[in-house]
Amino acid sequence: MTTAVTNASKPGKGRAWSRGILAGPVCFIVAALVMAGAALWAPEGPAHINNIVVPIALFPAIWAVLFFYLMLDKKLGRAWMVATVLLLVNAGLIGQNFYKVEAAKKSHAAAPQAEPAR
Amino acid sequence: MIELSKSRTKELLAIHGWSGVLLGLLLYAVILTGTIAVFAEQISEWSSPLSHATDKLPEKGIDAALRKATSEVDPEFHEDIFFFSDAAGRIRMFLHKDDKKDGKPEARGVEFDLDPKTLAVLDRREGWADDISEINVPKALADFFVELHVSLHLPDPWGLLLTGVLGLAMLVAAVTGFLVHRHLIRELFTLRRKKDVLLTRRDAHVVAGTWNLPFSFILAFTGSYFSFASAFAIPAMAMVAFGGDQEKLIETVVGAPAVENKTAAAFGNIDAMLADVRARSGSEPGFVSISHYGRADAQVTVSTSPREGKLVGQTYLYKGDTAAFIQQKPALGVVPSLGNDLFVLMAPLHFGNFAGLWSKVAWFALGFAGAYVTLTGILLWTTRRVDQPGWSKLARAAYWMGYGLPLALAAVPLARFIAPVLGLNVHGTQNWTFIAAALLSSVVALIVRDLNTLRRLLLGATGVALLLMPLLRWLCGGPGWIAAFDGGLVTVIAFDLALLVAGALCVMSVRRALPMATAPALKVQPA
Amino acid sequence: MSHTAIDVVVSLLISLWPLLLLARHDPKRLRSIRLHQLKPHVRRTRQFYSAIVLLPGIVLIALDDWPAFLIWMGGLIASGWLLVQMLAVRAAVAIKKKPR
Repeated sequence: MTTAVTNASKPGKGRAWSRGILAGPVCFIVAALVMAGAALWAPEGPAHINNIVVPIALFPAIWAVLFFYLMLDKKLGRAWMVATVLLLVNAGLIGQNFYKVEAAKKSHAAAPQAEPAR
Repeated sequence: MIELSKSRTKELLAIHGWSGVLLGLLLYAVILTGTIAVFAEQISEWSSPLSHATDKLPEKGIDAALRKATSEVDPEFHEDIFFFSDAAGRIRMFLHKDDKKDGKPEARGVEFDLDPKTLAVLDRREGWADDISEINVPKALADFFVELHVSLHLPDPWGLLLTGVLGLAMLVAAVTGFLVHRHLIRELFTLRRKKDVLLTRRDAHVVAGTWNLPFSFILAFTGSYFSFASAFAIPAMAMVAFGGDQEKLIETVVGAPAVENKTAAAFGNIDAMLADVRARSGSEPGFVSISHYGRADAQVTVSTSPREGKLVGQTYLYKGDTAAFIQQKPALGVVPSLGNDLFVLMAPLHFGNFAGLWSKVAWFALGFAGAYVTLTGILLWTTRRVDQPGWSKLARAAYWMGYGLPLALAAVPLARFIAPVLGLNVHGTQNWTFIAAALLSSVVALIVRDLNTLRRLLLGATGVALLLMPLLRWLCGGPGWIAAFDGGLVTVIAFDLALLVAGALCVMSVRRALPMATAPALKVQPA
Repeated sequence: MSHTAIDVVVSLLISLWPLLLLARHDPKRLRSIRLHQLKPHVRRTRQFYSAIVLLPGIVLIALDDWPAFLIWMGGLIASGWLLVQMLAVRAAVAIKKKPR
């Protein structure tokens, strides 16, 4: 009976750990990426600063909404999927922006070298 | 209040309980020190008063003082200058440049403390900004409490990240507490004090938590914003939007940077600029920032204190070389925006410094309530589990932190006054005294078995420390009440009286025995 | 005295007396301490007094006096909590003195 009880509690413990990791460090990282990614897609507003300042100011709210969803969604798998999609989308946006910036820097550095050849 | 299913309520209650249990003791420390830090300005006035009281920049004389200061420092430190009325009215003037220390951006320069009446130099400190603050004696006591609150005296960014996480824990506890409490309004006035310890503890926590709910939410939200903004949010946004250049981010977000012109130019009259600010705003200039002093592109930014009936002040821009008014602008950006509105609201909502003493008293009372909620929550948790020996350690730790932390904090002002008399470094002595008092209370907490006796010992010692403070302040060279009254130093007298009252209350509370839960006496509560 | 201070004092004076009445005649509180001398308020009465408690806050918001509103709210919360504590102590003393 002890073995049966132990075996039965293992998936429960595993789920608890999974939920804890999801609502803990994963949630924080995803919220941070959503905040940072918002600089690229949020509207700038009349002073051209909203896309920077508003996500920083609302970071606790971003985290809290995500935390409660990831903690309370009965389907753990679905919660993981939502977190993963948010992570990939925002990380992708940020990565794409880095690539664009680096490419622009390289072409800017290359342009003066092209001129003397004329 | 809100109908939730039984299983949902159970989940939310578990989140509420575990977030409090895991982080509650540290959260209590942050809230308690924050409550004290509300009066940071008054703490400096009390511990390091000048002979006369003032908290405003003088109407004349700053221009001459500024020119004298700039002539006495390396011109590289003319890059950025700021000044404002700081500890007990001393004008703190920092001439500096932005540099890099161990790869991280850090200011380096020369800082002066000026007498607000005579503009005489009271102190001169030189070096990196962090090192300078370590030798700022007038601010030493206030800074101790503020730093403990902001980062638990841990190095950046870890301290800030930790306090940020604690703020989020408080946010979670406030939201879940609101959701699970089905009879929020109905039980608003019910505080049962019966033999049932569990019931008493439950009511104490629930009533305090319910009343304090709006402010718990506001303080948790704004507190975690402040921690995370500097710990990682600003660097992260700088990385994404400005290639890692934090200075560029700040310049862009603050708005209206001057067009670069390195031609040397005489600086305009700052007294005239401040007089113009007073006339335009109807309030006092608070913080004055000068960029590129001595150049044609010098710019002066003046932030004012809030006008009567307003939560936030205004910001004015002047051309540094001609003293000509450029524009009034929001704190961030050059035109009004949602970003600016959110940014400027964070400080008054968190610090409670928008209406002088009135708002500070209110914030102090609410902070105290917040600390009470946190501690009673942990005690409720351990009382519910009094028949589980493992949780008794947490109960003991709650008593140690709950009553030991105030004792350790009360020991710090005693060190502040004794250190200069003994020729010791003030900051270092404060830190070691705090650690020693905390260790002493830990030893007492380990030795004394009965929790009521532990409470009485720690509370009694705190009371004695509080009662000693005014006497020690005076004996170590501080003004007596008559001199304080003559100099208009009302804060000195008020603080002394408040400490005497608080000390007396602590000592009187020692006589009261609190009912303790024991396993056989524990009643099982219906779900 | 600044006008913020005056607004706060007046607002709190208006809010605190109905708060005291609400607390004294709260049905759940009276049931829990088995105090039968005081009559518990009915729902309508509680709603009426609650409206008076909150009215100054609404007026302050309408007047755009946010500093006074925040201080009023803080003062009301602190006073309410203190009131509950004091009434609980009084009730405990009264119960102890009750002849068995």
